[in-house]
Amino acid sequence: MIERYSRPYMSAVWSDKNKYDKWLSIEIAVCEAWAIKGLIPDEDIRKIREASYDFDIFREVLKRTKHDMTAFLQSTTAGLGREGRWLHQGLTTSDVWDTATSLQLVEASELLDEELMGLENSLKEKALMHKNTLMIGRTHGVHAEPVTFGLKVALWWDETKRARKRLSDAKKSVAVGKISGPVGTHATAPPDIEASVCAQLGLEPAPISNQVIQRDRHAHFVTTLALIAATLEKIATEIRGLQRTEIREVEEPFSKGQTGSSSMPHKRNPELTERICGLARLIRGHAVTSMENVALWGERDISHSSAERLIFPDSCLALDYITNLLNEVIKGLVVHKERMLANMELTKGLVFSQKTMLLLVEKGLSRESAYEIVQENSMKTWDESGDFRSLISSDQRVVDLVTASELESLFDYEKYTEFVDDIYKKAGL
Amino acid sequence: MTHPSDVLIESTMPDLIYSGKVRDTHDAGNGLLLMVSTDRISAYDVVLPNAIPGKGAVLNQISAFWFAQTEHIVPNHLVQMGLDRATDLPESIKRRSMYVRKADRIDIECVARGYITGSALQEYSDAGTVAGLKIPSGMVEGDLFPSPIFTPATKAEEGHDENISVEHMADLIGAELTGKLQNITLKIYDFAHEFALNKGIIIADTKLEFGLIDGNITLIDELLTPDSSRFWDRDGYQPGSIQPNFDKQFVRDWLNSQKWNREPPAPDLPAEIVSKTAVRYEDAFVKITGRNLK
Repeated sequence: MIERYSRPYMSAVWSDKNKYDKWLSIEIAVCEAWAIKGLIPDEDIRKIREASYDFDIFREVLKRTKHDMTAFLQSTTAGLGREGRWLHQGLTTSDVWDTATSLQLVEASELLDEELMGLENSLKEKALMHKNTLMIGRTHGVHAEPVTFGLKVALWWDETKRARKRLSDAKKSVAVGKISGPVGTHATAPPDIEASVCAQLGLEPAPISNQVIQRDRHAHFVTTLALIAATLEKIATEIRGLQRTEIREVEEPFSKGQTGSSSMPHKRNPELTERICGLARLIRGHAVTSMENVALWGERDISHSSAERLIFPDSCLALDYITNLLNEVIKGLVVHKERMLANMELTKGLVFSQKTMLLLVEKGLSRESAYEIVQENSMKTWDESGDFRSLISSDQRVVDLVTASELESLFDYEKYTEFVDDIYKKAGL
Repeated sequence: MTHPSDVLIESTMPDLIYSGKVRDTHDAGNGLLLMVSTDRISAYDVVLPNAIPGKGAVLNQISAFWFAQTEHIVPNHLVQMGLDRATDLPESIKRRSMYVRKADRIDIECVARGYITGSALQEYSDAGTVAGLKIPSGMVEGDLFPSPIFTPATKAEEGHDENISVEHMADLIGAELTGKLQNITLKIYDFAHEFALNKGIIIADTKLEFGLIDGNITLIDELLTPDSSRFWDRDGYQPGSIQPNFDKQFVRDWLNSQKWNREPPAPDLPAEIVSKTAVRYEDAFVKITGRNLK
């Protein structure tokens, strides 16, 4: 990932240093397990606990061998005496590498959950503040009936809570280790070594593995990140839509001194939410790759590895970045209540069409005739200049059935928000 | 609106047993106390020389309103409003007083916080936690907590109360009572927060006091008043900066412009600040209760 879209804590999780630190702690945990079994003598394990790796030696050996694990082991044993021979006892590279990747994914999901928790909370804040802020609801982009801005945000809040639950499930899916040798038979490292190592690292042992931890788990993780990104993209897309000049009901924060366009000084573009949409696409692409990584030959081939070096860090970094960004957008969101009301008036009372029709049905008309009367007046409102309320109140077929005060109480926006409190309760807000 | 001449700085009733920053409490016999909310106002823990006409009536009647609203959660000490006593109270006392049952006071301030500000923000900036709880990173002044938190404090006779941990509270008064008070405090806050938010006021935090009457936990003192709580204007709410205080903001702004060192005595407030503040107090009352002040 380029630096522009990387935040420091997540970058640290995917740094080489963190990877090799994890490798070292796994190698030491394996030695501990062998020591418990009596293979490694006490004085040796005490020295191994203090082991560290030397980056200069590592780079040198890597240049020569082109093999990370060989380079890592040589750079570690260089600082040890005879006890160095116990390192990597009975292991294959994937035992260490895959288990370390699991630890990194667990760390990454904890950071992501923190960001999502912040977003969830900001959404809750906005949902509470705008519970009764009236605006028009749109279906197909066309005015439908009144809603409140709070309801819209509460829906996002609820979805974000689900996102956190999904992330927690995906984290469980990858929180497994494997110490089972080159084809998963435990021929050189028995299952109790694996159990002990995993317990030391806070992972579950994979019930069965071959050379690797199975990639359906990793695909679960990356596709979950893509799904969460889709939720963020949905929120961002709605904000972009509501910021269009003709609508302009909300605006993402625009700081003093910021530039919207190099050629048009007046521009205040929804560029933060646009960026969120862009990076969500990137993560979605990685989800496809992660699923293609599931099918490996036999007990393992290495076609997945090159892709994983990119898609694991980049998916986590991109999601971390856009979750944080969306949180900032939500916190600083400018809500134009007056524009919301003005837009609602654009269709001159048409939003009350369904309530009018229902009233006519209550008064004894068939649904078909009621629909016809209301539609006829609605079309006049759309096509000619008039407002729905005056047209319907002067339609003789309506006047015959409905009193003036009944009509009066019909044209009330608040009627549409009668159950907002109940919806909030139902959602747990 | 309270007439500027209707000001009560000190209660004139007999048998005064306690006089606080704002309230004067009298023994009324028969196990009752007469609690009078005066029009005194304090800022930065200092009682100011001026009083705000009608403020005591607002505090008294807003407490009574909330006592009635929260009876389903916990009983309270209110017996009768001064206003309902036809004969034996002067007019100025009537609207500012209530008769309450004597209780054995539990010496803990039970504070519920829904928004991060004040000492909670200080702890968060220093330690990243509030009352030891995990909360999202990047929260700023005035942000909403994921869920309201309970932060008890010991009562100090002078100046600031001292925040204590829930564990410390349990050491002082027992774990069972602590658990119950925490539960009741958060329930009342949740209820009041939702109620007021619908009326356009954010109750950012509030301080409750409890006593025991015949061994039963009873809400005492004042309840969800602008003095015991932070009231913010919902429509002007913007996390990231100090939220304007609904009632005392004019007073604080003016005091801040005076280069006053926040030690007594405080400077005299101009008449305009006094009347603006009086209006704000009444506004809060009307907004929340939907009634006129008596």
